[in-house]
Amino acid sequence: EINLMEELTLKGITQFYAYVTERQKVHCLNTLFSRLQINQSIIFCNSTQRVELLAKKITQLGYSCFYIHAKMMQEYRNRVFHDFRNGLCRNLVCTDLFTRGIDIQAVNVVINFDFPKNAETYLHRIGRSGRFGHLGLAINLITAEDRFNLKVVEDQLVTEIKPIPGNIDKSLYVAEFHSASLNSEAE
Amino acid sequence: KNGQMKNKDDECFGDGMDDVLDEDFDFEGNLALFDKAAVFSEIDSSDRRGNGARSRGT
Repeated sequence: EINLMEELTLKGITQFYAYVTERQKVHCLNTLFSRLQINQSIIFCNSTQRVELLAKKITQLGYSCFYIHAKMMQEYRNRVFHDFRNGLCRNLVCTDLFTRGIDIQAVNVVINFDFPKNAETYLHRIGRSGRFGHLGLAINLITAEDRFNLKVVEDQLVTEIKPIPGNIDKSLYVAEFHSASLNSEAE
Repeated sequence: KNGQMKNKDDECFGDGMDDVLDEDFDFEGNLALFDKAAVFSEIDSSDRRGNGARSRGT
């Protein structure tokens, strides 16, 4: 199942950014939760502390979530991740733990609550192994401070992260809205 | 540096935003505050002027 040689790709992933301040991030996330059709989501933060704080907030907002970070015992992390993979919970909040990209087909939305500090981390969070014709959505919460890193990511990965539109086309990330032509292409 | 991080966490996760949570976040209004193309070309031109601090390690 684990293949280190598998290259990660951003193909099939639609990438958007929302412009926010720190103070607006939770509000923004709450609106995203209410508007998006999330099958499963992974939400990335840049520190252990922020993972715990955000998981608490998300629970207070009435959404279910698991969380994992680097300071947890590996065995415990594995169990939580295993449960998430089996669909026991809709949302997972975490720091950068995946070095091979996310290979969970059910995850159709990835949110960078905190924008990563470099292009490699961005690719590991958002990229998928090319073997799957995966469609998904990546939403980046961008603060004024993140503008330099946003540019580095776009330049180095030769990709474009677009401003989030008012209405996001469900065929970009929701399985039952995928067109028949896309399904036959993937076969 | 740790103080800065703590401030950020307080801003982000502190109380006081619960009132606005019933309303939708204004994506469009906030996007209007960030002209990406203009910001990026400004970063480019400051790099060209030899302000290399930003490109360190990238």
